[in-house]
Amino acid sequence: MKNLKIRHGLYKNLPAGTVYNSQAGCVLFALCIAFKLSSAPGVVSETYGSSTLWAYLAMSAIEIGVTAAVFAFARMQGDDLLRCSGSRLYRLCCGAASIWLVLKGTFYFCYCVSYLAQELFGGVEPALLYLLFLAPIVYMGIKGSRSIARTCEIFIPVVAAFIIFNLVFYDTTLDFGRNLPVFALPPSRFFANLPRYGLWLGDALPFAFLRIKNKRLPYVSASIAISFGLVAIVIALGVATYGEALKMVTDLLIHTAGFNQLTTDIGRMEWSNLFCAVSLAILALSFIYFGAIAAGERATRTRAPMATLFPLAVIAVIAVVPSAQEAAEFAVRGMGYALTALAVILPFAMLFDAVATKRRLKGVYASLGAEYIPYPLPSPTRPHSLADNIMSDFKESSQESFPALDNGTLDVTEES
Amino acid sequence: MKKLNVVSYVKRTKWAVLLLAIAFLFLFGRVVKSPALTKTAIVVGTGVDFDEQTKEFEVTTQTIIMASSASESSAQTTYETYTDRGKTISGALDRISRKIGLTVSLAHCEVLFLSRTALKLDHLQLIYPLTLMYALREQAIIVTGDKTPREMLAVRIGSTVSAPFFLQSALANSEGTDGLIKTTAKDMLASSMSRSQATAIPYITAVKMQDQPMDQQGELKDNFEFDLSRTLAFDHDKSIVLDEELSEILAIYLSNDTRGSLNYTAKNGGTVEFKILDKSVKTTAKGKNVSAKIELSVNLLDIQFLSDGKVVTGADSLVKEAANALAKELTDKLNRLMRTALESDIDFLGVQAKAYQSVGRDLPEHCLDKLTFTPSVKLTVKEAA
Repeated sequence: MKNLKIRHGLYKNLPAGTVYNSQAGCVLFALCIAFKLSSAPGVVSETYGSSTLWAYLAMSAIEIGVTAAVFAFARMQGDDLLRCSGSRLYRLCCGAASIWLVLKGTFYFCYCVSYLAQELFGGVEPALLYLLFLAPIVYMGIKGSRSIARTCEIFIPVVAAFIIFNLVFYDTTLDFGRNLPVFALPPSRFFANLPRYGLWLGDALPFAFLRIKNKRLPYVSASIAISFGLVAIVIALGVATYGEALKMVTDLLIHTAGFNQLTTDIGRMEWSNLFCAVSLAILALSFIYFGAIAAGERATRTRAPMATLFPLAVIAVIAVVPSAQEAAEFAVRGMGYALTALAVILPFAMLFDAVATKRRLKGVYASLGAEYIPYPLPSPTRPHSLADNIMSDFKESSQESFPALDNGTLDVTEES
Repeated sequence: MKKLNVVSYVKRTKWAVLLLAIAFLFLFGRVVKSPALTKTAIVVGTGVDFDEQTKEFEVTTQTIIMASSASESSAQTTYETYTDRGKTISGALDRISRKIGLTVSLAHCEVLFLSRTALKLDHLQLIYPLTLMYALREQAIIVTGDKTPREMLAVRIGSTVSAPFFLQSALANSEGTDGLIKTTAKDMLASSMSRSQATAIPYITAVKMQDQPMDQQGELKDNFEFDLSRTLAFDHDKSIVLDEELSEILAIYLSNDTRGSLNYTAKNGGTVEFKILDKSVKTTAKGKNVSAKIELSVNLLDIQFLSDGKVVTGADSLVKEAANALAKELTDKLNRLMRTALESDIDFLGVQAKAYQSVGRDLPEHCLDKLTFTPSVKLTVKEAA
């Protein structure tokens, strides 16, 4: 395949498992918005009430820390290093990460489709809806990071435009004071309840299994700032709009479009953010599925187990649990604490392992990604022509009078 | 020529995805039973009443039916009102669906009439099923009145025939003045679930028109007009009807937008009418002290019995004095509102909610009598843009 050079020394086709930082930024935006602004505000508001924004900010601080750890790991090529070194801890972490990502993907899947099945596609057989939703996720997840990253590059500008459009024309009675007091719950209960929502942490973990190629601008940092900023703005708006009634909102992102002041002129605008919610959910879920496959591959040296486990887990949950809502609710009970623990421990464990290995195997780390160059460099040898019977009359004199140069050629300059 | 490997070709290209998508769409199209628009009743107004004796809901819907034929140049619109009862709102709506022969959708319903008995129920349980299952807009306007929702929806309004259409346009165009408060379903829930637990909605009285409209056949009988100048303030178990005077200032205080005019009548009988251009309401709390600062930009509209043969403008001291006196009058009315809130123990001014934002979770429940409310109103006379 012809690899076209675009500009700044960048190429259209990157090696497998490598994405540009601009693409990583788009994927990160999808991961942040898709799950944190759909049903999560309503679920969190049920416990936190007027403190929902502050709970979100606390969660965002943890999530930014976890994301920073993941990107630090990816930037130092921790995956390549630990795979070269054959780290057992890394294999263990990858095994845990793959199971965790499958669990997270399954819960997210139930969480997304429960809303769609209940509110938007009332006349559709839920099983069919699940399969419709599952097909593109599995397809893109198996195709890999490059397909997901490119799809995100196309969709994210459109999605961002829709979200901004609906925020610009947002018009309803607002009271930003509803975001106060900070501690509607006693601080002990406030912090004790936070880990219950661990389902929404560690979305960036699959980036640990990717190499990131930098373009000029700091797209990843910009994406983190924009995504988390947007999440905080929409949550603050949501609380200012609904107050304690936020708990009845099943999908805040879609509901914000309902307050577009153009609604009276051009009709209900919920469809625009519905498009955003569905496309973002598919992109983010396929990336998590890709992460589960990549982690499983590092743990078991084969892609097949995790590639089949995620769809099977989703189908099994659908078959066993009467409604997807039950599975989603299960994730914010005791399971939430386990998900939080893994979301925080795994990236830092992998990062520490990579840093320790880097110090221990400096030579291996230095040679990561480089082409094979023998060390020490072979010293040039004189041309060996003693036995070739060519110019035999001049052999002795020529060896004496033409010394070898460093570049392997003979110094034929005659001495005066 | 290189032989085409079909399997490899399909795997490598997007054809596989396209084929899969087409297959799914076929399957989807065969099994989906989405309600067609022609099978959906477009409801423009809904009423909910609750019988405390039988514990049954009485739900009324006004649907719009548009019919046209090839011989007629324009479509004929009729408004049909249906009522039924059920143990739940959904049950009653299902019965109405069967009566109409169409699926009821509240996606276009802009007005929700609630009876005073219905307002005593859990507000979340009252609204949530309608927004979730029947697609009622959260921006739908909530109103109540002196008659049952069924009677209110059935009356014929002289100007637009349909009561919901009249309310929709009246509240959208004249919000915030003459006691017109536009409280949406979302606003009602936000207020009633706050620390104040109270909210205010328009209290409508239907009065038979003194002069009935006429057409070519003669007088059109039984037309009503709605009086929207009063307000019902309520919490979960108590309610109070506020008169026109108090409703006017409450509308200015609570409404998102304010249009219309304000009148000042001096002791000597002179009156000045101001048109509201802009308003700003800032409510702040410092501990248990809540203060409300209202700033109104007004324009001189009309002046009677105050100046003899003199052209009066907004710059005249006469007008400025009237504006200052009106500001004082409005401040007094806000104080009266607070006294009414204390007497009725209904915090429709949202004082407790504001104090809660400052004091925090230590603020005791139902502490309206322990809070202070300090209002101030400022009127600035400007020229109209």
